[in-house]
Amino acid sequence: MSIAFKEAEIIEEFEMLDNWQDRFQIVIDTGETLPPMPEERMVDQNIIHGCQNKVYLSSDLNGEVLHFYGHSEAQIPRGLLTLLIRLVDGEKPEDIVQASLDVFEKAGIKDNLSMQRAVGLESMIKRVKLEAAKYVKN
Amino acid sequence: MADKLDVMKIREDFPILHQEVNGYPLVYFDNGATSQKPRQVIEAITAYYSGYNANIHRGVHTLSQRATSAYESSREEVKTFLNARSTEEIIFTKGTTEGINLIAQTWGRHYLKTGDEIVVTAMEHHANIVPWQMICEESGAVLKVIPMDQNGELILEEAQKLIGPRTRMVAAIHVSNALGTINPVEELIAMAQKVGAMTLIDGAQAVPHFKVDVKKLDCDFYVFSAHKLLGPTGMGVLYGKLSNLEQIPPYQGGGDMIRSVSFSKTTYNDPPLKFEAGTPNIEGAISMAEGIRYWNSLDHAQVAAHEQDLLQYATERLKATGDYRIIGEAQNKVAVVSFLLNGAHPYDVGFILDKHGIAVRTGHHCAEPVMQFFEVPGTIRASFSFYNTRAEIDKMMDALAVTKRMLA
Repeated sequence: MSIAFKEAEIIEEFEMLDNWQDRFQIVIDTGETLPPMPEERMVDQNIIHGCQNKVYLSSDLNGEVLHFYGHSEAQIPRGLLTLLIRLVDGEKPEDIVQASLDVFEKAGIKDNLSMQRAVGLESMIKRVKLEAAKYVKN
Repeated sequence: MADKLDVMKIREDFPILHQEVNGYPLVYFDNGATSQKPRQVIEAITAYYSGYNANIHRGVHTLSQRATSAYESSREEVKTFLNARSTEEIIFTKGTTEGINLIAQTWGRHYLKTGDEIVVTAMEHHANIVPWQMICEESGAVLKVIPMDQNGELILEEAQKLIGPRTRMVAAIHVSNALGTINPVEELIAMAQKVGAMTLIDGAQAVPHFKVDVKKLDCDFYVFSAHKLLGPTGMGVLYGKLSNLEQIPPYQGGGDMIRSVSFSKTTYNDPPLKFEAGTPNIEGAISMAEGIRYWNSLDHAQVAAHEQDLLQYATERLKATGDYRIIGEAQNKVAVVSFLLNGAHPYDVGFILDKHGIAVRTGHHCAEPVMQFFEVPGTIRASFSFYNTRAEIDKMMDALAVTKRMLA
């Protein structure tokens, strides 16, 4: 499944909801599906700076594709992180680097975030791209 | 018994309160971070800039004299407000943080030696920790901390043990911003005086709630910020006993703090100007005084009764369901309630409350050691002002019920 396909799926899921409460209920519920991050990965270097609470992200190259691990104590950031991971997990690093990853704007989620949360979300996206960039040869 | 505070009439003075946020009427419960401003304060700023904006002190022209006179009469207003002995004891600063840094960097740098001790409390705001840590690092002095108990009250027996012959300064928060605890600063000051130590009281969260009398407290320094007391940001007060202010060296160098300057020698001005280098925050001082005048116009017994009613009502409602954990249950509290929704992260709760137009603060409230003590990542803090109502607390409780469902 390509990033674009998964993005379209997420947008469709959110498009039918016309209020913030239902959208964020989905975000929160999605967060519950994030597999627990192995303890040894929850180290300082995997903390995403710019988030108001502690959010962790790390990745492994599995053959040609990347596999992501994440954790957040707070549920809303965890949901956002889960959606982001759903989008990029199992994809090739070069595809992730090239993807726009602007699904949150398109799905009408970002509009409902406070400034600081939006900054946190941007930091998550940036971190995902940095993780992928590590494996892309110039 | 005095009549009740006419909250609805008071609210008319605060233009910002009459708006919708995210489609709901604003409920502003973040007064501990900054209070809203009455129109009198806003108008004072406009009047200054549209009527008599000029630089103060050395100008002979009329506008400068009007501005100087307004600026200096603000000092008079603050002097009366704190019951200081004279206006020389009132130094204008950027705020509480600068007041503490000023003392740490002038008095501290001049007088502290290796092995000297600074005593603070376990519930200090970072502003009353970090400046002392910085000067300790420089001077070799040591920071000591008076512990608190699970209710969020200081353990005075421990204070008694900590404040001793090596203590040079006891710097304590009057009212905890994170917990609302009103600390027995009178007792701490007495302990400090017994060993000849100086005292600095951080009154940022105290002056918006009750009358402070520095003469009665007999502390050496008292600091607060205007913006938590109906006034502007970037403006604050450092009160110091004149005898102390005369002895400690100046803070920053520049205009206004000098008597005469030559390349071979500069002599300094007397307090308070000795500590006010550069063009000050003129409209800040003027509008701060207006905020104090507004505060003075209220019946303080009525304000206290109303705020305590809000505190009690919010506490009762939060306790009624068993879904919340209140952090900080001191006997003496201002109208601040710090709490957690069981099983939920404070940031998530703050986010959903904001969606309901309710402004609370979530996080560590610049008091990380307090959060570490209670082993929580942060709290949700509702801090009330005299212009808040029980109906607003009901709205918060309704929004919390929705939050609980969403995060369950």
